[in-house]
Amino acid sequence: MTGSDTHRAIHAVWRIESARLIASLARIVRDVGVAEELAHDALVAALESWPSAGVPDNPAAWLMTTAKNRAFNELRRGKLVARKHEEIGGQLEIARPMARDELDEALDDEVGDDLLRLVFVACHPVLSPDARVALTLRLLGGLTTDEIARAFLVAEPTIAQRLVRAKRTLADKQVPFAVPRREELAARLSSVLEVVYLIFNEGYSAAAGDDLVRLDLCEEALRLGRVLVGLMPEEPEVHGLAALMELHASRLATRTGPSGELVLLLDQDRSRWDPLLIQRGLAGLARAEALGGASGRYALQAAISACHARASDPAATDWVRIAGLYQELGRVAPSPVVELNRAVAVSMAYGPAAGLALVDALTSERQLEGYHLLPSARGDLLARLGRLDEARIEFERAASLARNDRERALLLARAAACASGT
Amino acid sequence: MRFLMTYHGEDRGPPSPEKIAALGKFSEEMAKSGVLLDTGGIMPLSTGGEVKQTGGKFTVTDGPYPETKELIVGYAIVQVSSRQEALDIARRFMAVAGDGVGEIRQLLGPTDEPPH
Repeated sequence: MTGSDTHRAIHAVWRIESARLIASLARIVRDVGVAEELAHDALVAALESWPSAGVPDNPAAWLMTTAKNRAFNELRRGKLVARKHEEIGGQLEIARPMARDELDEALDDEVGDDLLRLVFVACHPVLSPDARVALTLRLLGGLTTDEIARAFLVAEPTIAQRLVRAKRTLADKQVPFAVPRREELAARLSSVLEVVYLIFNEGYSAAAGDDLVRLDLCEEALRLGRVLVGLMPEEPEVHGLAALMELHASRLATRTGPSGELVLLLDQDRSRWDPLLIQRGLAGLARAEALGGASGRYALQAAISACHARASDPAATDWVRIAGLYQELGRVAPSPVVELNRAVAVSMAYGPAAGLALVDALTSERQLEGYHLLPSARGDLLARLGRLDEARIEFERAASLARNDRERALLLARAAACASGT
Repeated sequence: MRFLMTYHGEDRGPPSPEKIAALGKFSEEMAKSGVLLDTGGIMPLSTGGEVKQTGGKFTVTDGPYPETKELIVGYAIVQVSSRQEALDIARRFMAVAGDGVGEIRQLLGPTDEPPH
C-alpha cells in the first residue's frame, strides 16, 4: 500500500467511524469539543503510524483504543474530569474520578445511545440554525471545516469560527450530553429533523457546475436521515423525513437539463428516476404511516412526493389526493407557499377556475410579495381560462421578479405567447 | 457513489448460528451507519437460470449447472463517498463472513458520467 492509499483508507474509516468515536468519548468527558479533539488526536496518530505499520485489521477499534488511552492519560494527569453518568430513579449525575476498568467498560458499551445523544447535542436549540448545521456536518458527517465551507459557499475561517463558538456555547450553557426528556422530545426532535432537511435542501438547490461537495450535501443528509431511522425506529416523523429525502433524491438526475436549466417535475423524464430510492422512500412512508404518523409535516410532504413517484406519466398523477394532502399540510404547517401549491394541485384536479379562486385569495399575502411563482401560477391559470390579456400582465410581472435569466426568458416567452393569442 | 458488492463464501457446510448472528449484526450496523441501501442472499443458479441472446435468438439454459457448494452467497448495495470506503466495508464484511471472493462494482449514479 502506498502512502496515499493509506491516507485514503484512513479517510474512509474516519467517515464511517468518527461520529461513533466522538459520541463514545463525549459520554466520558461530557464535552463534545474535548471529545472531538481526542478523536482527532487518534486520527493524527493513525496518519503517523499506519503508513509504515500498515492499516490494522480492525481500524475502528484501533482508533477507539488510541483515543481511550489518550483520554485516560489526560484524566490521570488531571486535565479532564470524567463523570460517570448514572440514572437512579430520575436523572442523577455523580461526579467522581473514573477508574481505568470503568472507563474501558463505559467505552465498550453499545454506542447507539451515544450517537443519539450526540445528534441531539449538535442540533441543540441554544445554537443558531447555522451553527447546528455546521456542527452536525462536522461531528456526525465527519466533514472537514473546508468541506463545510465549500458546500455552503462561505469562507473557511467563518465556518471554523462558527464551530468554535458553537462548542463553546454548549460548554458554557452546560448542555448535558443526554437524550432529551419525554416532555421536550418532540420539540428537540423537530430541531434535529429541521437541521437534516436544511442540509438536504442546500444540496438540492445546488446548480450544475457548482462544487460537487454541494451536491454531496444531499448524500450526507440522506445518510444522516438513514442513521436517524436506525437510532429512532419508533419515531414516525424520522421515517417521514427519510422518505421525503429519498423520494426527492430519486429525481436528482432529471431535475436539471443538459445546460443546467431547471426541469419542472411534470417535464422530467420519469424513466430516469431512481427506482431504488423510490422504493426506499415508499417503504419509509409506509412505515411512518403504520406508526400513526400520516399527518406529520414530513410524512405529508413525502406522501405528496410519493403521488408523483407512483405516476408512471404526468397524466396519471392523482391530483385529487395531492390537493387533499396539501390541505392537510396547510393545517399542520400553515404557510402561504403551501397554499399556493395547494391552489396549483386544485387547479389540476378540479380545473383552473377552482385554482384561481385560491390563488386570488393569496395575492394580499405579505410573505408572497416579490415571490415570482405567485404571478407565474396566476398567469398560468388565467391563460388556461383563455383570459390572455390578464395572463400576459401576470407573466410580465413574474418575469420582473424572476431570480435568474433563464426563468425570466421562459416567463417573457409565455407573456409573448399570450400577446399573440396562442 | 453507489457500489454493488457480491460475495461467494468458501465455507462448506451450513453457517453456524454464531456466524449467522454476526452477519446479521454486521448488516444492522451498516444499515444504521447509513451506508447500506439494500442487501440479501442469492439462491443457487438452479432456482433461476442462465439466459442469453445471440443473433436475435433468446435462449434459456436450464442446467445442469456446475454444482456450487457455497452456502453464503450474497449481495449488498452501498452508498459511500469513495471507492476506498466500499473496500473498507468489504474488508469488514469478510472479517465476519469468512474466506471467499467477491466483486465490487460501481453503479452508474445520477451524477456520474458513463465511461466513454
